[in-house]
Amino acid sequence: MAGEYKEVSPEKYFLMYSFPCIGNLLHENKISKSDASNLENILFQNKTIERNFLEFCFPNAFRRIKTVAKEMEKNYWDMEVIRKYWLEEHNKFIDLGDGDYAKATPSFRELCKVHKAEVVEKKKNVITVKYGEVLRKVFAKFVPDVSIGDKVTVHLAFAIEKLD
Amino acid sequence: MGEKMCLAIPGKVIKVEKEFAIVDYSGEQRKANIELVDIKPGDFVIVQAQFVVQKIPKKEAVEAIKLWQENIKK
Repeated sequence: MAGEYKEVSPEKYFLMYSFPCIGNLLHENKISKSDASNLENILFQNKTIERNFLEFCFPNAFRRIKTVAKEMEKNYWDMEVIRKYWLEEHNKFIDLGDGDYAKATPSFRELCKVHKAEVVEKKKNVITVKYGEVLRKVFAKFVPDVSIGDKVTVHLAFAIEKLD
Repeated sequence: MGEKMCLAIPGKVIKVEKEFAIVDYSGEQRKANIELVDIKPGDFVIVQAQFVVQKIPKKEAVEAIKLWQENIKK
């Protein structure tokens, strides 16, 4: 449902968006296999998510989020800060070539961005979304109830949340 | 393929078998699910968590692979 973010904790919200990146971090040896499976377990089994653990696994994201929090004059774990980061600021950092994005090719940068898209097709657990001229298939794991015409955000291979 | 391989490095599809593709990374081959992207042999793709997530224009892919190979020689 839309506005669902209001019912999840900032920790879970952060992890929903960062979840598609776990494979990348694991691949680059930035986190261990046990850290990666812990992250997946706590997300899908609704376990308590420790802030320290998230900050340890995603240091670059939190460095950026702290910058956003400072500008907003809020605590960096404030939901408004986390949401603003993923929905607006994350893409700007990518465009600036921040951190590892400096080495990324144009297509990979676009893939790493959070896009606001419209659902145009739905087949079981896979939805086709459209933004601009781009049509992309992503997993609907986090938004199983979306319908054609709904607006969602997408990050890498996943649709993350339904937008109002 | 070293453990430091960045996922931003595209691979080349050398074979498509039902729901899987065999993707080549400078000699090392990996299997990836193609549920999300329609591809054919010869395409360059980015694979994430064993899923092909995006097709990459050939020019960009070739440049990215070249850059990566130069980096690992250093």
